[in-house]
Amino acid sequence: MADTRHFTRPWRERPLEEAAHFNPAFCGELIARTLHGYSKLGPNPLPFALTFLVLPLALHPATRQALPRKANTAFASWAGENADVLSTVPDRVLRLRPVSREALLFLSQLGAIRVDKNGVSIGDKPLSLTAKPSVSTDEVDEIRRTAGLLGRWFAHQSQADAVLQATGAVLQTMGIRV
Amino acid sequence: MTLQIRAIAIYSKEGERRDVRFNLGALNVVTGASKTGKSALLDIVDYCWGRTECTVAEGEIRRGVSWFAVLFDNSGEGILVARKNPGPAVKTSDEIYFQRNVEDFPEHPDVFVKNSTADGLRARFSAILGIAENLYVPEPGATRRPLEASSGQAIFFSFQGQDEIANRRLLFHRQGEERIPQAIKDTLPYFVGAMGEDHYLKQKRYEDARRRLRTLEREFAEAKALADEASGTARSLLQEAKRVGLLPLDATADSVDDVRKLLVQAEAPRTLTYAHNDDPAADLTDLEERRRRLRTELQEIRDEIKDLQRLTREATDFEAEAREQQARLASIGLVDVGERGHEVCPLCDSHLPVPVPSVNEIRRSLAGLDRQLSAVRRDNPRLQGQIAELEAKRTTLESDLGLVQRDITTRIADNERLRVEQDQFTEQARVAGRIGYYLENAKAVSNDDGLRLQIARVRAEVTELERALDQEAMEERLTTALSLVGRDITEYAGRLQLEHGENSLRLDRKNLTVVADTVDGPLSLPQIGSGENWVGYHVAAHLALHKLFRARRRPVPAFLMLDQPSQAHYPPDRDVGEISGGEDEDQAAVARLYRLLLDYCVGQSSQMQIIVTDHVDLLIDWFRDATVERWRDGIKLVPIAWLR
Repeated sequence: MADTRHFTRPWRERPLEEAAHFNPAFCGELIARTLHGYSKLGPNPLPFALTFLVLPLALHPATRQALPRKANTAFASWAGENADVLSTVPDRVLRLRPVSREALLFLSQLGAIRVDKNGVSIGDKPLSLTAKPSVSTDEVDEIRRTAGLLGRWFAHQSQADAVLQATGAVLQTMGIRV
Repeated sequence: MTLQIRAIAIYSKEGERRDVRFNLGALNVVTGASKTGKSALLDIVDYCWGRTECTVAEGEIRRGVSWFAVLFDNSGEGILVARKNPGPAVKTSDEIYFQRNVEDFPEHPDVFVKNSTADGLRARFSAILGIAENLYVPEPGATRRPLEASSGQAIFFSFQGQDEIANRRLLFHRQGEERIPQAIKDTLPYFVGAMGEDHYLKQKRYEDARRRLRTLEREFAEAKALADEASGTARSLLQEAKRVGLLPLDATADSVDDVRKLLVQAEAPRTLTYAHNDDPAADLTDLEERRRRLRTELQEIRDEIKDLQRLTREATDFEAEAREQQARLASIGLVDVGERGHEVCPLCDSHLPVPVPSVNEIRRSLAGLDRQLSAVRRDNPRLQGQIAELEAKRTTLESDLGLVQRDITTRIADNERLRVEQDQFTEQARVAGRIGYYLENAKAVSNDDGLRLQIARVRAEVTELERALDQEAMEERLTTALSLVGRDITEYAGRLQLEHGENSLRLDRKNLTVVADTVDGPLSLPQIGSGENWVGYHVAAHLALHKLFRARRRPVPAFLMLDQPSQAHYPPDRDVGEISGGEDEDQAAVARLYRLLLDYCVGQSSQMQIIVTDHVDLLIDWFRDATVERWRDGIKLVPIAWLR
């Protein structure tokens, strides 16, 4: 099981693959897409804890396949149907915590997001997400689409607690500090 | 042609000669007292005819005589036969002198040298008599051997010894001896002319034809059996010929001849077209070697291609990975902000233990990836080209291999076909050989028409000969002859006034006796009483027989020697000498007998000579004329002077 050590090192010292795959620009973009999707449906900021779910759900191919195709799917019923998929999510959340954190920091430094006590909202210098990247792959495109979907899906849930209950309990036990 | 006796001579030991001369074709009477040698005359003739045993009685003659000689007359030709007296107590002598064409006895017996044997003598007499080759074949089942009539049997009809002429049980000379009666019975058909001169030839021809017929018939039966069997064989051979392809499958034949024709066609030599290949396996080996080589090559190329493909795949994998990374790093493109401190937390401004990667750092990574990717893209076409080249080669090799494989398959099929073909040729040759053998044998059967024709011809020959030989016809002819004899016996018996002479008389060939057919039944000689009758019937039978012989010119000596026919009336101990012939019944009977003999000779016109030795001396002119010797008052056969 890959540990989180690599992400505790400076960029240059990280293995090339991990550095590239989990580079803060990409991960930040995904979080930004979720945030943007979330923001389209309501004025509320995205709960901070949910930003840590974006990468584990969007980057893991099996989980990504299991996600609903429609944003209005009830999270509770989906979670009941996909309990086996969700069972591995806490572990990945834990391992990707440094990546998520670094992405959030990277976005914050750029002023793309604003983090306050209510959660995460779009900053004063948002990423221009409509711009077409110079190169892309199908998987990256799918991941991007999923990230946007996740934002809208989260927004559709009547209460963020339900999402967190399914996953957040874990988060809390992990002692995620915000 | 008649054979009679001119004279009988005896020679003394000193060489003196004593003749007894006879008249030809007439009655000759030698009369004389007892013990004068009258009976010896008959024995001498018998001996000189070739009899094995000299029966001349012991006594003066056997003691005093050196040679016995008889001069026969064969229609004018003098035939001299002299036999040496075996001497007292000796049965026979093998010194026989035979000479033809002589006028008279030699003066001295010195000229007598052995120049013949008894068998030779008999054979010569047979020839002289003109006894044709003949053979009496006994009825089937008889154990005795076929008997050829010869002079040996012919003479039986010419003698009637003293003890024979009055014997009621023996009609013929030597009939009392072993095997003689049967010989007389068997040769009688020949001598009476019932057989015919060419009977023997016919018999031989018949037997020969029969044998040939049997052989031919057996051959025919065998051929037929063979043919019957052969037609089955032919049909099975036909089937076989069709099976092995010597004949078309639709060839059929109904008759045996057609089958044979087809077989001839099947057996005919033909050129067999063999698929020519010195060593059919060699080609195959080459092909297999080639296939093996091609497979190895192909495997090498495949391995190479696989290696290259792995290389390509690895490059592609790398490219995909790099591309993924590139895609993810490309997100930096969304950031347009320049350099800022990354080591300070933007939220709390505290120093971050791990600085957030700077935009530039990420961009550098992206640039590095871009370079790597372009290098990969440059290499790939070369690999692809090589793979394409190898794949083209592989395709060629694969098609080559396919060709070789097809060749091999074809070759194996060819070989199989060739093998089958050769097997078939062998089979054909085998069947053709059998057909040839059959046809060779069947050829003999097929020309059985010739055989059939031959059989028909021989059968006709056999039938013809059978008809000519016909045993029944012979019996019939014999019956005829014997009935003629019987008629004459009856006549003579009548003249002799014999008892039962008034009845029909016949010669019983089976029992060799004379039978009188009376109203009470047949009476044979032994059943008839009285010595006069016995003598009379003997004489009558012989005269009758000789009459037939003469009439038919049969090869029987034309003389008859009778010894003491008067004995029934005048036994030797009642030697009365001269009698008038008319004083009493006995004299009358004797006179009747001699008169009959005399008349008989006259009646046969000198063709018959009768020599009688007796002690009666009839005082009748014709008797006196017939008397050639009178041995009384010291005159005997052997002169007293020889016995000094």
